[in-house]
Amino acid sequence: MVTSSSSSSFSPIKNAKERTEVVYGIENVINTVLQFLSQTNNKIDACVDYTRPSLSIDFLALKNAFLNAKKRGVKLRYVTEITKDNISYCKQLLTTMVYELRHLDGMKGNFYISESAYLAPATFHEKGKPASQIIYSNVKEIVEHQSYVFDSFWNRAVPAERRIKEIEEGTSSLSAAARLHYKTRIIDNSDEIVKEISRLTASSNKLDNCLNSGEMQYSYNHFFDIKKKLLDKQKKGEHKGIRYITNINNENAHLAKTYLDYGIQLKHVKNLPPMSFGISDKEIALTIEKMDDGKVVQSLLISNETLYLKHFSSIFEELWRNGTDAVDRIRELEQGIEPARIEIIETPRKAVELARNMVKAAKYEVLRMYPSLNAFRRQVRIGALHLFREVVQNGVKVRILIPADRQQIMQVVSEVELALPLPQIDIRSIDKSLQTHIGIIVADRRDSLIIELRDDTKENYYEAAGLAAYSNSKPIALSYASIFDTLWKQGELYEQLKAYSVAQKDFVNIAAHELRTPIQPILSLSEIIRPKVDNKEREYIDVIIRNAKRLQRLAEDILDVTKIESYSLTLHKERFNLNEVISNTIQDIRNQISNGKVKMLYEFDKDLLFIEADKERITQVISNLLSNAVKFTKEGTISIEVEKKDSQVFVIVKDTGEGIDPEILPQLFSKFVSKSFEGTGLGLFIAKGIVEAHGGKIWAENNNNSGNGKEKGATFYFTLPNINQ
Amino acid sequence: MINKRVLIVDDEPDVILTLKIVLEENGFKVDSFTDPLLALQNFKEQDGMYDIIILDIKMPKMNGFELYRQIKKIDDKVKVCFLTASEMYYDAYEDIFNTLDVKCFIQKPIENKELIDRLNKIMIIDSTTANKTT
Repeated sequence: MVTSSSSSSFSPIKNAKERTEVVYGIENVINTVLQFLSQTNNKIDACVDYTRPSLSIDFLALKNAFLNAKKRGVKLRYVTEITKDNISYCKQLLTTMVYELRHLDGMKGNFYISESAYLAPATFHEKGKPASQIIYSNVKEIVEHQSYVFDSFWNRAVPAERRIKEIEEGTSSLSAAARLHYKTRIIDNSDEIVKEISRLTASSNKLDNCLNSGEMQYSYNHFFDIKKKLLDKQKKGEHKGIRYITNINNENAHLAKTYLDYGIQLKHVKNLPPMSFGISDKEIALTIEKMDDGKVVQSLLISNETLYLKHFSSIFEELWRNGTDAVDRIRELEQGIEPARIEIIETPRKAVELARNMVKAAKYEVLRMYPSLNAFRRQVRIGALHLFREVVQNGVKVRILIPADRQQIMQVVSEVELALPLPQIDIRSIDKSLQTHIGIIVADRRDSLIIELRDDTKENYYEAAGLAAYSNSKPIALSYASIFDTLWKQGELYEQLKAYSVAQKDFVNIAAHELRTPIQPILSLSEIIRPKVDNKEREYIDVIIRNAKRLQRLAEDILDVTKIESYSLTLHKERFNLNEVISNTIQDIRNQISNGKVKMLYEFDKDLLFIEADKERITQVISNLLSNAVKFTKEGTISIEVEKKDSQVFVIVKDTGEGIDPEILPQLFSKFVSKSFEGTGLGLFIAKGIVEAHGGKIWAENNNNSGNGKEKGATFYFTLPNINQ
Repeated sequence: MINKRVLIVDDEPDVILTLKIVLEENGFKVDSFTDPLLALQNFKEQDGMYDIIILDIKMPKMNGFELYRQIKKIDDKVKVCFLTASEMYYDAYEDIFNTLDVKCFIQKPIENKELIDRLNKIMIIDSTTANKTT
C-alpha cells in the first residue's frame, strides 16, 4: 500500500505494519534514514555510489547514526566504488564504521537493506548532497528481493583493502577489468577459457605444454593459429619457442608430425601426469580433466603466482629430460617396434597379473625360478600350476627350479590335487643353500620379471612379495635365462652327485665285504697249519701269514681312503680319556720295538684329559704316528707330549730318527708318498683325514729346523679342537 | 671236556669251512648252514641245544640281524656272535646294537686265538644290557 504525504509535513514511520512509501523532502528523507538506522538490530547492507562515503562521514547526524548502530552490534556491509577522490573517506569508513567494505567498479545503485526494511534514495545525487526523495519498504518480499540484488553485487565486489592498495601504489596499464583478477583463479566458462588460453599463449615469450592426446587435438582446433604466429616470431628471434610433451600413439602420430613440421619441439612420454598444463614465462593454465578428442575443457585454473610457475616448470623439465624424441617415437610406431623398457611394479597384485599375462602369452618357453619352497607353495595356492598346465597344453615348454628336496616339492604339488605326473612341466630340485630373495620368470627369452621376496614367513603371496621389475629387453631376458640355465645344469649335477655319493657308499660297503672275506680263511688256516709243520715249512707259512696281514692292512687302509675321499667317513664320537688311550697305544707299540736302543718317553699326566672324539679313530692316528716313529728311529728316544692351549689339545710325537726327506715333506700326508717296510703308504693320509674330520690340523717338521743343526729326527703334531673337560 | 655246541650261519662256504676247522680244533661241535632259512628251521628243531650261534650279517634271503630276531623268538636267552666282513651300520638295527654287548660284534678277519677267546667270553657273560661294558 502506498501512501503519499504532503511535502511539508513530517510523516514518521508510525507502526510496524507492512507498507511501501515514498518520502519527500530532504528533511523527511534524512529523518527516514535516521529512523531506519536506529531501528535496525542485526545488519545493514549498503550499496552506494562513489558520492556517498563522504556523506556518511561529513554529515554528522548520519555518521553518528551509523556509529550508534555499530555500538548496538549491527553489522554494516558497505559496497561502493572506491576512487582516488573518496579513498580517504573510505578508509575512515573502514576503520570506524563498517563491518566489511568492498569495492565494485562503476557502482551506481543506491540502497540500504536491514533485516526487515529497504531504503532507496530515489534520485541521482550530486556529490555531498542528500536525496530529496526516498523509497521505504518493509514488505518482506521486497526486502528479500533487494537483499538478493545486494548479494549479487557484494559477491562480485573486491575487498576494499586491495582496491585501496591498488590506488595507492598506482595502477598498471591494465584495464580496470584486468586489475580485478585474482592471482590464481578458476574459470569455468568455456568461452572465457578459450579467451584466457589465447591470451596466455599470445602474450608468452616461451611456451611449454604438457597435454594428452585429446587436449592436443583441442589445442590444435582452437589455438594453432596463435601458435603459428609465435613460431614466426621465433624465427625472428623474438620468441624462445614452443615445447610439447604428450603421449604419441598411433592415433595422434599424424598430428605430432604436423607439429614437428611447423617447428614445435615435441617429446613422447609413456606415463603422463594426471594434470595437463600450459606454462608460459608469466602464467600457467592447468586442468585436471581428461578430454577426448576435441571436447571442450570445462574448468581451467589460471595463475601467475611464482610458486605455481616454478613447480610446474620443474615438472615439465623433468618430463622433458626423460622423454623420448618424437621423431624416434614416430619411427618406432611406424616400424611396429615396441621400445625396450624396464618398469618397476610397486604392488604385488600388479606383479601377479603381469606374470600371468607373460606366461599366458608365451609361445615356446617359460623359465620359472622360485626363491624358496614357501614361495613355490604360495604360488601353487593361487593357481600357478594350473596356469602352467594350461600353457603347456599349447605346446609351451615350462621349466621350474625350486631350492628344496624333491620330496618336499612333490608334497606341495600333491596339495592341489593336480593330475600327476606333469610331463611337460619339468621341475628340478636344487640345493637348499641356493635359496634367494628373488623369483625369476623369463618368457620366450624376451620378457623377464623379477619379483623381490620380502618376507618368506608370510602365508599370503601378496604379503610376502615386494617390488617387481619387468623388462622386455632381449639382452636382459637372455641374461636371466643364462642364470637359469646354469642353475638348471647345476641342479642336474647336484642330483648326479647325490646319486654318486650314494653309489660310493654302497661301493665302500661291498668292497669292504669282498676284500675282508677272503683274508679270513687265508689267515685262519695258515695259523692252523703252522704248528703242524717243520721249521722250514713254518717259515713259508710265516710268509703267507705276513702277507695276508699286509693285504688285510692295505684293504682296511684303502677302505678308509675311499671313505675319506667320498666324504663318507663317519665318526662315532664319545667322551674318553685321551691320556688313557695314549698310554694304551704306547703299551702296544712297546711290544713291537725289537731293539733296546729306543726309549719311549711319556709323562703320564695325572690330570684326566677328556675329549669328545672317535676313540677308535684317534687311537688309529696315534698308533700310526708312533709306529712311524718306531720304524724310522734306530736309536734314541720317542717322546709323546700332550698340551692344552686355548680350547685345543695338542699331541706332539717327537723322535730322534732319520728325519723326513725334505723333498717329500710337502707331500708327506698324500697317498703312497712315503712307504716304510710293511707300511701301506696310506697311514699319514688317513691320519690327516681323521684329524681334519674332527676339525683339527696335522703337520710335521724336521727337528733341525729349530736352529740347532745337530738335532736329529722329526716331530709330528696334531690338534683336536673344542675339548671339554 | 664237554663239547660246546655252536651253530654257524654264513653264505660263504669257505668261511664256514675255515671256521669249522678252527672251532673243532678248539673243542667245539659245529653245525653249519649257508641258508639262513634252513638254519632257522634247524634251530627250531634243536631248540636250546646251542651254547652259541655265530652269524654273518650280509646274506641273501635274510640278513644276520633278522635271523637273530627270529631265533630270539624261539629262545630268548640265546648267545650270539656276529662275525662279519661288512661295515657295521647302526641304523635300522639300533635295538640289537643297544641290547647286546659290544663283544658280540666281531669284524673279519680275526686271528684264531682271539676268536676263541671272544667266543668264550661271550658264553660266559650275560650278553644283555645289564652287563654291557663300553
